[in-house]
Amino acid sequence: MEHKRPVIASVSSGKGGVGKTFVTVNIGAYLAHRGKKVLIVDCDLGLANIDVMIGVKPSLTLKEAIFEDKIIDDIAIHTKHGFDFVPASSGAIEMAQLMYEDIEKIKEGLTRLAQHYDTIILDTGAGISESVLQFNLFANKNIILLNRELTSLTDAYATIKVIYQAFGRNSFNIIVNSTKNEEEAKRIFNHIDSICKRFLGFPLQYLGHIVYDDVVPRSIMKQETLLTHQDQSTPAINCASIAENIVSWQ
Amino acid sequence: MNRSPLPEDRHTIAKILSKKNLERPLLTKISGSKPKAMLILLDYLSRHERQIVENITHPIIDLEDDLLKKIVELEEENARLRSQALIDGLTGLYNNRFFRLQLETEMARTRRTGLSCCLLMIDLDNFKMINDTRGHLEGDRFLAQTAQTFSQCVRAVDIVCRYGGDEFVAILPSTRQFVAIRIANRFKNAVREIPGATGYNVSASIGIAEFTVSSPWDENKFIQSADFAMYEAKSKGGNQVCTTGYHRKIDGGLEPVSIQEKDAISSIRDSEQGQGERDGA
Repeated sequence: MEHKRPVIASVSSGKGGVGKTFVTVNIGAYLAHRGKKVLIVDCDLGLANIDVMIGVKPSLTLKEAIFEDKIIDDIAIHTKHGFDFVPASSGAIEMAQLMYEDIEKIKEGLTRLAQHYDTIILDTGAGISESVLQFNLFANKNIILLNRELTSLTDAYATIKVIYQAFGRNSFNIIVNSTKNEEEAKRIFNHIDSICKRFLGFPLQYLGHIVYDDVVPRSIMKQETLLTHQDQSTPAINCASIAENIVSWQ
Repeated sequence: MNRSPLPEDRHTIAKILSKKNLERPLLTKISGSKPKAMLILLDYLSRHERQIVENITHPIIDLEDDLLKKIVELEEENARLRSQALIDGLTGLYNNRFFRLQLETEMARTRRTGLSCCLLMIDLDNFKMINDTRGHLEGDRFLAQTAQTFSQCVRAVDIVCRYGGDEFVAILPSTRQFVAIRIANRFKNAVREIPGATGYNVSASIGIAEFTVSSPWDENKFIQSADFAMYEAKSKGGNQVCTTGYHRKIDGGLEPVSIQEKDAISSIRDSEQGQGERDGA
């Protein structure tokens, strides 16, 4: 049987606290809802937290895959949100300082696993460490997340610039998170897009925006996704529309 | 304090050497440290790294034994000849031969560790002017000074070699292109500081190539790529750094984000404030 190459999308932001994990989980839930087979991988190797956000307690994590030679296929767990999930372990110093060989091992495992899925979303850590860069290289679509804060714009741009310099990537999909409204999101996007064109010589792609609303922190507190928490809220509709755009990549 | 090896030490060393089928005895400085550990350490080095260690560690052994004394003398002479074969006489840098050997080693290291290495090809612009107007002695002096300047510009792990004539190369292990650009710029700026450089308008054209774990290159292709970038720097008028490689080419990007870029990003604050006033009005 012929299998289409899965979309492997990395989600990075440079700056921490922009909402990478929230966006990853909610887009994953909406993609699963659309009938896609989705795998979410927590690649924030030092300070992982997707498991906390979706309320699962994994017994095996990527740490075991690397240091105890467990097969990555055994580590993936099915969740009530419709997507499968590979957890990383939080607070393990040795995970925060992975060698290139370890990252390669994870990538090999994921390549094997990839054939069972339509979409794989990699939640990379903050910063621009070797592992963040390597997961961005592994992905065939790079999503960059930013919000309305100036530092987030600068860090998102720095991330784009480093990935471009290191691997020659020149196609990045932008999500503006925690924005007031669509107009503001578009203004922020146009701004960073013009800076990329001017200094790096290529344009950015607008993937979508998520408007800030109280339902976002409430859903996180309840360890739920917007799909199950407040399906009709504006941020929920925003996430659904981003998921729709990602479906069109296939 | 130096001490002569104890008979059992010598015995052990001899045994190790015979097991390794070494053609000649490996004599290293034994100064109260552990000679056995030293030998094991040497085993972990590559062939030419080991040669270098041997070159700099003088075989000083207090010997009562005439035959061993002869061997030591012979080894000293061999070390001198070996160093001549790897060091460039004029500049004191490693020569082209050593460069080729070391490049091979670093590329193998990249394939093993996955960490990129970079190669800088450096050609002096207008150097011929010094030779033609001030004579070759002055030219040689300038080259020696350039070599010394370059040696001061690099990190402890980098290796600077004289490629030939007024061309130099630097191997930067475990280094990404954007870091290499920064080091290349140090070279470029340092050349202008050498006395006489500005008077004869001598500057450096530097080409950078990055070898990654997935680059399909052999040594010659790697050198050619750095060469290619260097020619581009020359054709653009010299005194600049150009890059080439398996990766998409970039120009200039020295820091992850420059001040100009930061300013451009910050400018949104003003426009957003204006927007806020309009929204409020």
